[in-house]
Formats: sequence, structure tokens, C-alpha cells
Amino acid sequence: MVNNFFNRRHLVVLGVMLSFTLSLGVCHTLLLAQSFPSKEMELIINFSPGGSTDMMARMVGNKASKHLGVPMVFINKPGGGGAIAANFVANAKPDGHTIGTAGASNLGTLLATGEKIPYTLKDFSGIARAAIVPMIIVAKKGRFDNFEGFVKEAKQKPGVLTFGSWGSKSTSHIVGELINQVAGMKVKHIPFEGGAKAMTAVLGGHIDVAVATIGTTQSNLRAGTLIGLAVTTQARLDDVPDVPTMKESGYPEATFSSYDGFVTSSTVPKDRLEIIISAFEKSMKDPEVQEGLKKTGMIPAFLRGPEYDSFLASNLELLRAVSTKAGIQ
Amino acid sequence: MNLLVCFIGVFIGTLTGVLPGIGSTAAMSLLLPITFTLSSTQSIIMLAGIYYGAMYGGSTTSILLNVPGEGTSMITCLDGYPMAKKGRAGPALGISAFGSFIAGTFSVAMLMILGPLLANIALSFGPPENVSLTFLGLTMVTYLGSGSMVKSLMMAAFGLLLGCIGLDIVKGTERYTLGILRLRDGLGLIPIMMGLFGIAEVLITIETSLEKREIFKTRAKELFPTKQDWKDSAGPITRGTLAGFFLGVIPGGGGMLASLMSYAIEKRISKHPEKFGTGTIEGVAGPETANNAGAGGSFIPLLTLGIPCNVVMAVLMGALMIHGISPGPLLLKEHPNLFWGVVGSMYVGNVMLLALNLPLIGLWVKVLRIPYSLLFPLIFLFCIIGSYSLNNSLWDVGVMTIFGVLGYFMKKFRYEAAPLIMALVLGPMFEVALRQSLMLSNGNPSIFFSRPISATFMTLSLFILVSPLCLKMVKKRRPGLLKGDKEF
Amino acid sequence: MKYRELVGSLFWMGVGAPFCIGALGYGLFREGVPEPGLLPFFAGSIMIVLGVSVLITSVKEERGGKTSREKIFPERESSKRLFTVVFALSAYIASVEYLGFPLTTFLFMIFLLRFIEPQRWFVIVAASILTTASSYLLFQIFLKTQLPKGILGI
Repeated sequence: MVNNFFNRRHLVVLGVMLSFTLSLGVCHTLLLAQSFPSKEMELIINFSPGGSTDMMARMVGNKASKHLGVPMVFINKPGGGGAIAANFVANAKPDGHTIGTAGASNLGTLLATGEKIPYTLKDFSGIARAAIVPMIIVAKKGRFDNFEGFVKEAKQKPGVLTFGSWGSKSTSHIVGELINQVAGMKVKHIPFEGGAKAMTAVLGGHIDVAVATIGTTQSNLRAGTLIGLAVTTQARLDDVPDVPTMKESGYPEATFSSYDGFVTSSTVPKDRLEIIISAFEKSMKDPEVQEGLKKTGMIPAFLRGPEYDSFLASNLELLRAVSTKAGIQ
Repeated sequence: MNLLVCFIGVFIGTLTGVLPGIGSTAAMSLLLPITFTLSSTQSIIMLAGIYYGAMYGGSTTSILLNVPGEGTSMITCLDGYPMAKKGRAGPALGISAFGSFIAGTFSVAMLMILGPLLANIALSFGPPENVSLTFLGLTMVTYLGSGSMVKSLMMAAFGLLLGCIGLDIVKGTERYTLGILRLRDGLGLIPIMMGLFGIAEVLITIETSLEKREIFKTRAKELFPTKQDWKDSAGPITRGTLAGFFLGVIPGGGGMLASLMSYAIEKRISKHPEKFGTGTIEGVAGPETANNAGAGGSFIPLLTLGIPCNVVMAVLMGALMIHGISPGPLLLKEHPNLFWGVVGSMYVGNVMLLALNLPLIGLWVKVLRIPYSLLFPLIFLFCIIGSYSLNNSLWDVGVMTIFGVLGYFMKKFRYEAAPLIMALVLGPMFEVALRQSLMLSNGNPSIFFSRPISATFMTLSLFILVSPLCLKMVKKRRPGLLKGDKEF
Repeated sequence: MKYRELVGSLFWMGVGAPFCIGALGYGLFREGVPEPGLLPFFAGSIMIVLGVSVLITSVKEERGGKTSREKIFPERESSKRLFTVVFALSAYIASVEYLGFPLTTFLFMIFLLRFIEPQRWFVIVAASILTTASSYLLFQIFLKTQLPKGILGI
């Protein structure tokens, strides 16, 4: 309804106000674009709450959030062995506000065993490796004296001894096959639904050994109901100082541990990635975080973004090689 | 202070148990950070309280709305909801609470006395024993149906098929996933269950005009169990407690198997098996007791061996580890305070839960008075939120909807949902154990009979399978021989 | 009754068949150990066999005159209600990630309260607001479950 209320003067004033507001808005957005992060960040955790990955993510993420100056929202998107979360992160908006956990599961074994996964390693940029999860070969007390004893018996009776893993095509399965390959053994693989079930089977004497993590086995190792035959790390572990490494036992090629860390989509601009990386670096250096990680059976092992990228790539190669040779495809 | 923490735990547990889908695991994980500020003993007390509380709360929605709050509460729906429709929701809730209390207290006592011994027995359950145990469960699946046995079997077969969808854990091959990433994990028990029971029930109820009808007999006949109820429930509660507890100790046994066995046993030895499914108190007392006893029993492997036998125990274990305690054989020696503190709190927790739930019965019964035309959107809403919160994904909501519609038509065509769910749970367990066993024995099936425990269960299962046939044959030859035999 | 049983049994047979066929592709046995295809094949076959049995039984009953005519949808409204609910649920799923939990829930409640068993407008609006607000408070704030946020950020 145009009437004499709106005369030319008013129109001019209105126009000036509008353009002023518009330019403010543009400046604001531009400023926002400069300051990153400008809103809360989302950390997509690829496993259910309560697990070790979840706890690691929350511990490190909370500290990182303080360094970034914005709240960190944790969203669990379990499923597909970690693939759902990884896929989500890879396809998220490239503004850098969406990051996720990734490690030996979704960027390792899943890609190595020929599964139909809708992403590749190239879709991600590493932020940081947070932890190494060492693996240990355990047997029921009294079954074997040491690793050599195990290898000897395995070679005498090929296809008779059994080893348990926490799932077919999982890290523990592939590591088990790796050990088979380097030691020249033929120990049969029996998959279980999770490390706890595999440990139960070993304790009950239904299988001969199991490939497990320190977290699940430490209490029984200390109580003596299980003995550790070997660990897959470079050096002996503080938790189980009596257990020799694979290297010491004569099989340095079988040094492989599981790993977990943080990644984001590779479409995120490099400058924003840097900001995230340095926040996580500071967070990882925090003694509280390190203590917390150790308590859950992981070894804090920080690697910066690009180094994590190459770490992921080289481990993927190894996983691929072992699984192809073992016929796990 | 411990008491306060215990109370908070059971309160939150009851609350989350009542809300379908949002199970104890979610609640425990959400409260995990708070436990950092508490001592280790207090953390476990609170988390254990949540677990227990959820067990009590889960049966509430099963009885009132036919929506199983947790997997283990499904069996309670079968007779609990019909009881609610008959105006007997109060007694159902009451017996359920008391039975759970008795079971909880019993299992704590057994934990104290027999803990380590039972744990070692549980260890002797390897893959072959799991096969025969789940096989036993599968043979009892047909007891869940009140209609045609053939149709129940068909539904069980369908449940087996649904359980095969996803990543095969033994070989790592994808089965029936059609390339969809989500399907690698399978369809999900809880969305299917919420759909087939909860959503389908609502759909059936609203299909005719709601105006003149009384969905729930509002003039509730009595609020508490009658003397007759107590008499009838005594046996089921006793049997349920024993069965549930021992099944809970076996790693991987768990609440669902316990409640199934209890229901099947009660139906089998009942003098009026045909009434099961229409609202018998035995059908509520037994399973509810069994699944609470199973919950208590499942603490044993964790506290004595350091092995978590279900997801909830795994979260508890994580919480303990954060406090620097790794549960295992040395727990009692190294941290006696923790052990006894937890055990003590379980007693107290059970009492608190009883005291909490009994007065609530009056409240819950009033909920049923809300006109169904206002109630049903609420049911939908809670189911949507519950199924979404499982994985923060709408996929589960979609699965629930589809199975809701399917369940609606299944009711119309007289195909029962309970055997389907049971087979969905037991099938994968059976299949994995079967293949593991045959891998261990290099393809030799005699492994199932050469080991004592396994042989026992197998013989029992075969007996159950064969006995109705034998009875029929005997009946044919000598018509008057068997008095009061039951036709299947 | 017969028609219903016919449709029912054919449906379930139709469900079982593709599983059976797919199962053959996964292998049945290898060196005495069941392959991934064994159980699905077995279960699918059971469905088909039992489906046939149901079919035959109902045909026999029909011949014996034991049928009863029960309509699938008891009232004319029934099928409409079913579709309305399915539509509402599907719309909810489709829109909640755009509109956010509170708004979608509000619309959902209004829709159901209006179109299934129509209530008075006052009741509809009041109940919708009340349930949306309390469920938001309960789930999002108190229990901290992560409910979908829409474009508007709530």
C-alpha cells in the first residue's frame, strides 16, 4: 500500500539502513570465516559409548575443545565396524567442524580385506594418532611354557592348534595370520564375537591361544590364570614386563599393534586443519589425558596429522599384504 | 553417601528402563563422566543401580503398553499386556516387582556364596555347550505361540533368516546386505521388537473407532496382587529365579534365554497352558523373575573372572578401568571394599527399587486411564525417540516402522511375533557356536555328544522335540492311557 | 478365511524363497563345517515347506465348509487410518533432520490428534505443545540423548 506515508526521503533512509545492515552481515560472515572454529565442533565416534574408543575420544576431545575455544559435541555413530562414522565424516561439510575417530578398524582392516566400502584413505586428512593398542598372545596357565614352546608344538601338529580372535577379518585375526606366516605355522583360526568371548574360551581350555588386547587380559594375567606368550610392540610393556616381544622371540616382522586416532574430511582447507591439529597436539601432551589413556589399556602415542596419514597408509599396505596371503578376502 | 549414589542410580535406571529403547547402556554411558568425580566404589554402585533399575523399569512398558523396554522384557508383554487390558495391570506390576526383588536378592546372595565356583563352571561352557544350550532354547520357541504351531514355526524360521542379514562373523562375508553399509550390522533387535510389539499393537487398536471402547478396563479390579495371585506365582518365581540365575552366569546366556526358558517351563507344567497369552499371572511372574536373576548372575563373570558377558558389563568394566581397577580373579583380594561395597549395594538397591516401584504402580495404572486417542501418539513418540537413540540414526526408526506395519498384518493373519524375536536372538548365537564347534572338531559332529554338559542339553532338547510325537503315538494306540494329556 | 490364508502363506513363501536362492550363493558346506549359506537355506526352505502346508490345510478347511468371512479391514476407516499413520511416521522420518526435533514432533502430534480420532482444537494444540516441550526437556536436556537438530539449529 503505497501512499504518501512513504515519500522519497524515507525510501532513501530505508535504503541506507538496508545496505548498512547487509554490509555488516557480510563483514560478520567474513570475520566468522576468518575465525575458526566459529561454532561447536562435532566429534563423530565410530563405536558405541563406553568402549575404549569412546573413552579415548571423550578424554582427548574434551581437552582439545578447551584449546579450540568452542564446545565439542560427541556423537556416537556406531555401525559397520566403524564405517558408518567414517563415511559420515568423509562426506561432511568441508568447513572443518566435523571430525571423527578412525583407526585400525575403519581405516585399516575394513579397507584391507576387499570389502565394499564407499570411501578410501584419500578421503581423509589425519589430525592425530592418539593411541596404540598393543596386542598380546595369551594362553591358559600351564598350556605352554613360552612362545617357543607354542611354536614348536604348532609346527609338530599343523592344523591342530587353534587361536581365537575377536572377529573374522579383524585386527586380531590378521595379526594372528601374520604370526602364522612369519613363524611358519598353521594354527587354525577360530573367530569369536569380541575379545571377552575369546578370552573365556582360552580360560576354559576350548582354544589354545588367543590374540587379545592388554585391556581385556590384564586382570587375568596378573592373577596368573592366563600367561602372556608374546606382545606385538617394539619394546616390553610396563604392565606385563615378563612377556617378551615378538622381536625378542625372533620374529620382528610380527610387530603390529592396533591404533586409534582422529581424522577429518580431506576437503577441509589446510589452515583450518592446522588449527585442529595443534589443539589436539596440546591435548595429547596433557598428563591427565595420558594417564587416562593408560588406564584403559592404551598407550598414548601421538603422531601429527600428516605423519598419521603416512602411518595409516603404510599399515594399510601391511594389512592388505597379510590378508591377501592368508586368503582373507 | 554410598546410599545416595545407589538411590540416584536405581532412580535413573528405572526411568531409562521405562522409556523404551533408551536402555541401561545409554544411561550408563551418559553418566560415565560423572563417575570420574566419584570414588570407584561409588561409581560401580551407581552404574549397577542403573542396570538393576532398568530391569525393573523395562517390564513396566511391556505390561502397560506392549512395548518392550529392553530385549529381556519382551516375554513379559505376552501375558502382561493382556492382563493390563483386563484391568489387572496393578497385580501384574506388583508381582513383577516382587518377583524381581526376590530374584535380585537371591542372585546377590549366590554371588557372595558361590561366585567363584560358578564362574569356573561357566568357563567350561565352550562352543559345543553353547550350541546345545541355544538349541534347547530354539526347541522351546514354539511354546511362545498360542496359535497354530505351524505358523509359529514359520515365524521362527523367518526370525532365523532375519538374523542372518549382515556380516557373518565367522567368515566375514556379507549376507543379504544389498551393498547397504547399514545392513552390515543386521537389522537390529530392538527396532524390530518395538515395531512388531509396540507399533503393531497400536495400529491394531486404533483401526476401529476409539470412541465407545474401553481399551483398558478402567475400573481396575485391584491394585495389588490377590492372595490367589500370590499362590499361583510362588512356583514360577522360584523356578524363574533358579533358571534365570544359572543362565545369567553363563557368558552369553543372558536375560532373554532365561525369560524364554521360564515362560516355556511354566507353560509346559501348567494345568491350563491354553490360557497363556491371554493374561495369566504365571506368564508374568516367571519370566520377570528370571530376567532379574539373570541380571544378577551376569555380574559374576565380571567380578570373579574379569570377563564382561554383555554390553552393560563391558561398560562397567570400562568404568572400573578408568578408576585404575581391572576386575578379575584378584578383585576380591585386592579391593575387598569395592567388592563388598558393590554386593551390599545390590541388596540395598533391590530394596530401594521395591520401595520405589510399589507406590508407582498406582501412578502407572492411572496412566492407562488417559484416553487412548491421546495416548497413542505418545506411544509413537516414545518409540521413535527410543529407536533413534540406539544409534543416533533414523534408519532404526525406519526399520521399526516397517516392522510395525508388518506386525499389524501378522496379527491380522494370525502369525505370532514372539517366536520370530526369539529365533532372531537365538539363531545367530546358535549358528556361530555351531560353526565354531565344527571348526574345532574338524567337521566331526560327535563333539556335541562327547562332552558331558553339551550331551545333557542336547538330549534334553531332543527329548522335548520328540515327546509330543511320542505322546501322540501313545494316545493313538491306547486312547485311555494318558489322563489329562495336552494336545499341542 | 481361505483367501486370507492363501495370501498369507504365499507371502511368507515369497519371503523365504529369495533367502534360499541367495543362500546357495554363499555356499552350504565346506569340509564338514557349515558355510554362511547353510542356515539361511535351511530356514528359507522351512518357510516354503510350511507355507505349502498352511495352504493345503486351508484348502481342506474350505472344502470342509469351515470357513468364516472376516474382513481384513473391519471398518471402512481402518485402511485409511493405517495409511495415515504410516504417512505420518514416514513424514516424520523424512523431515526431522531438516526441521529439527521440536518442530517435527509438534507437527506430528497435531497431525495424529487431528486425523485419526479428531479431537477438539484446544485439546490438539495443548497436548501437542505439552508433549513436545516435556519430551524435549526430558530427552534432550535431562537425559542428553542426541536428538536430531534441524537447519534452524534446534
